[in-house]
Amino acid sequence: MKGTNLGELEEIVLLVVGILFDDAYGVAIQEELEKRCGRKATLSTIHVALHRLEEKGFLESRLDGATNERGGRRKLLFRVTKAGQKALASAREMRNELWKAVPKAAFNINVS
Amino acid sequence: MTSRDKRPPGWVRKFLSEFLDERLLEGSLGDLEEKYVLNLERGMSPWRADLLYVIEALGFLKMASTKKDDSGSTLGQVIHSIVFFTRLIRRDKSYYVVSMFGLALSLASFLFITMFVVDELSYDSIHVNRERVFRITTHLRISDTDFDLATSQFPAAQALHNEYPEIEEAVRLYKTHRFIEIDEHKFGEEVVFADDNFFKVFSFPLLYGDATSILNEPSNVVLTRNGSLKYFGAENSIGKELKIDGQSLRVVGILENIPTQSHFRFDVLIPLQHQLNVWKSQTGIEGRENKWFWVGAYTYVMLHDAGDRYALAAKLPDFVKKYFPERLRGGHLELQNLADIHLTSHNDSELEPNGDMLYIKLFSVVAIVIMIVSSINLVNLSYFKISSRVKEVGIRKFLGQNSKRLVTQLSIESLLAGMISFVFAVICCQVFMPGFNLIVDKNLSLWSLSNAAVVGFTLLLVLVVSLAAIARPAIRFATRPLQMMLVRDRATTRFRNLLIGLQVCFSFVLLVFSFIVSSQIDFFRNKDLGFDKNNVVSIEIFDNIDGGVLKDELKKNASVVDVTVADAPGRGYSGWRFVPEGGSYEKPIMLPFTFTDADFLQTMKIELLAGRNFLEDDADTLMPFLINRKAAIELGWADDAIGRSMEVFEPGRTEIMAKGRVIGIIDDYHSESLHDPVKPVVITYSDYSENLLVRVTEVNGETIASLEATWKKFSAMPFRYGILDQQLNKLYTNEDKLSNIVLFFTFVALSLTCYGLFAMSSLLFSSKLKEVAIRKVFGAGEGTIMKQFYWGYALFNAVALLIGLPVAIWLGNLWLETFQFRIELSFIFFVKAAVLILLAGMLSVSYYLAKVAWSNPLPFLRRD
Repeated sequence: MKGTNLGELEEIVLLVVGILFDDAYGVAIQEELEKRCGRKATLSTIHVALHRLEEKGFLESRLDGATNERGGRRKLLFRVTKAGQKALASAREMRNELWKAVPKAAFNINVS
Repeated sequence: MTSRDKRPPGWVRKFLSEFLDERLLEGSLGDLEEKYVLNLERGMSPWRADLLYVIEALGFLKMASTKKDDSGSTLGQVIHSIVFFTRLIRRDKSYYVVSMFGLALSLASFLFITMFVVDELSYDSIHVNRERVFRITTHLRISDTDFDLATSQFPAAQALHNEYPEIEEAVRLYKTHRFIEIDEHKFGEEVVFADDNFFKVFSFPLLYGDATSILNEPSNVVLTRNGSLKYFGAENSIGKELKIDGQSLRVVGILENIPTQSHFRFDVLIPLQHQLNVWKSQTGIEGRENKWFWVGAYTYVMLHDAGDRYALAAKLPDFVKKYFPERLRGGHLELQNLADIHLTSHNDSELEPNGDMLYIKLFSVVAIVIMIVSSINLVNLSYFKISSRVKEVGIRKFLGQNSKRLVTQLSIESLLAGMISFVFAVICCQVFMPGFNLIVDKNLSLWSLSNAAVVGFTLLLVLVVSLAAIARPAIRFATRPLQMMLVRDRATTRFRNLLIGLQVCFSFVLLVFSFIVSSQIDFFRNKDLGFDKNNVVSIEIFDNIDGGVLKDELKKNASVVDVTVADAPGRGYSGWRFVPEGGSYEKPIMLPFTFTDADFLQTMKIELLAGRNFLEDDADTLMPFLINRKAAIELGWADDAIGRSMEVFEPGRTEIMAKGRVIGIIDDYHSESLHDPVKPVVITYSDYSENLLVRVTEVNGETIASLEATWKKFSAMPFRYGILDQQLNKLYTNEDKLSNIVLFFTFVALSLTCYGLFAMSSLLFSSKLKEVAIRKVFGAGEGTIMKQFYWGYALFNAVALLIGLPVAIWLGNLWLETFQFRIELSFIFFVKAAVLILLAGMLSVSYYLAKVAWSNPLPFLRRD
């Protein structure tokens, strides 16, 4: 297994897979990503991220749910694993710690 | 059509399936397709959706390496090959650079020639009806002289149309020189007159105006875009007026510029009715357009069905019998397909100088030869190069690469080299295009539509050649067991020698041919024409100027030596009918006839052989004739022509024009191009002609300016002049072009051959190091070794040259036979070419030969 740290895109993709819960696959993730984060990514970019996350053990995938829109092809559906949840949580925790460590005066903005 | 029906490009699926593993393939293809449908539903245009689909799909190549495959992915191999290839190049820079340069050079030559040939073959292809449009040409035989004319009689078009229902349209063209007046400006132009159905037959695209009606009114005129810009400074000059023959014409249509690939070109198109009216007003109702004597119009017929062509041609003899005047009934008409005119028609009074099928064939052969020569180089060199990689191939096999992958590896390398050469070639073409255009007198561009196909084809050719070059060695090495690879086989050596011999043979033939062409051209330039063509200026007289007065004024000019009122020789004189004394009116003799004054012989330096020149008072007595020797012989008066009388008939008339007497015999001179034999000439006295010939001390800008100054005293019209030897040289433009092209490509082929020999020698001799070393050990000197190799080389070449000899002789004769006056094939050409090739070849191999001969034998013997 490769390193277990999360890249920025990987983290977002992992979260989006969580949001979509049981219907997380390429196009849906792409649409959600654009809707929620205003972020445009090509399908292949997303698949690369998904593939890496799967290699790291944060995601598991299965083939299911063929529809006509897809020329009868099944979807490659993803679900966040326990390890994935842990990784997200620890990333969040680490970030919170870091935020706390920044003196208020350093950023003249309201974070609340 | 709903978005559901539209499908994304299918090849993408196949392409991706090469690279991705099954799970990912299923998922990604599904995603791609869903996204595609989504995009269409959101109103994206289909082509954009397609484009996006392809771009997105290509993105998945990033994941290609995940394909689980024991033999490794194709993409991986491609990348590996590219990396490996760059290493190879870096290790052996000079070899790869030179070999790619050689291929690029031949590709560039091939591109150039193919573009030229395609251009020549594409003449008149814009006309949609070209398959069923035919030109009527007239072939007459008058008094034992043949006339092949591109034209026909003016009434012929209407008569043909009435007579034969298979003719859908018959259109006449008439081309002549006219002055176009716009306000105070005057432009001298070649203009074309045409019947009103012109646009039904020809498909020149109209920018403005209505094709069905624009030629209906005799006061209309159609300009091309260039014409409009030139006369009115605007692209659209509809409604503006210009004057021709003192009559106002209104611009009613603008044509796109006539393409260069057209057998006739013009900037001004006028309804033929205008010209007919002018003639009618000059000559009364019986205008000359109604006469069957005058063969002056270009007649095109469009058939309902191109298949009727032969049936129609078979009926034309009856047509001639029915309509032609009795005197012309010995003639016949022919049909020329529109598309064939440019390359196959060589009649008198063609609309533009035509090309020649012979040259097209010749150039095609040259292009193919160059490609063969360079392919041979490639085959030979890659064989050696691959042999020298036996060790690498061995290791690859040992490590378990299968033969398929080995062949792929070598193919990719070869294709890469080919592609790089191709890019070089295109750059090279682009850079030298202006120069090439200058040589061939064309306006070619790599990026035109027709040439895109040529470029594409060349690319294909490169790929095929690259693959062919490595096919033999690659398959041999890949499929043979390891230990077999080190065994040399004799068949390969023989094959290689055959290829080199072929190259030498080709170069020899080309070289001989280029020697023949250039000495034939020199022959034209320097042939004694029977008059002195140097330092003569020909001035056209028009605008009602009295030639005699202008002549007297010109004589005052210090740089003028002599002036004569006469037509310039070169284009020939028109034939008139003569009846010699005692001859029969039934059988007149056709002789070229011209008018000059008494200064003609002196100005042109033509020798008077017997009798006397014209005298100023000759005009009062019987018409005086000077005839040349050839005419004397044709009239049957070789020894006693002086004092004999003849009657002369004007072309197209039946009554005698005048009776005259031969007063002198002059030496033969060439009144036409050297493609034809010396023609007989009859000259009579006249101080009225439409041309002056002025002999000056030296033709330069100053003399021309002073002549022009004199002209300006008489007329406000532009000064129209020509320099005689330049005008005469123009008769040989075709041969000149040919010579330039052949010389250039001979050079290319020869340098390719030499380069091939050079590269081969480097590889060949390095394989002989051991042999040389052993000889040296046994006491052979450097000189002896060199001599031995040279001797073998020369013998080998001699065989190749002997094989090339008959081909060169055959080709040279084939070309020379098109000329009446030609050089003899002399053995000098062959000797020169043979010596040159031998020397060039020896020089090419000498460098490595010397290197080997002078090498220290020890290391090569010690090695094993």
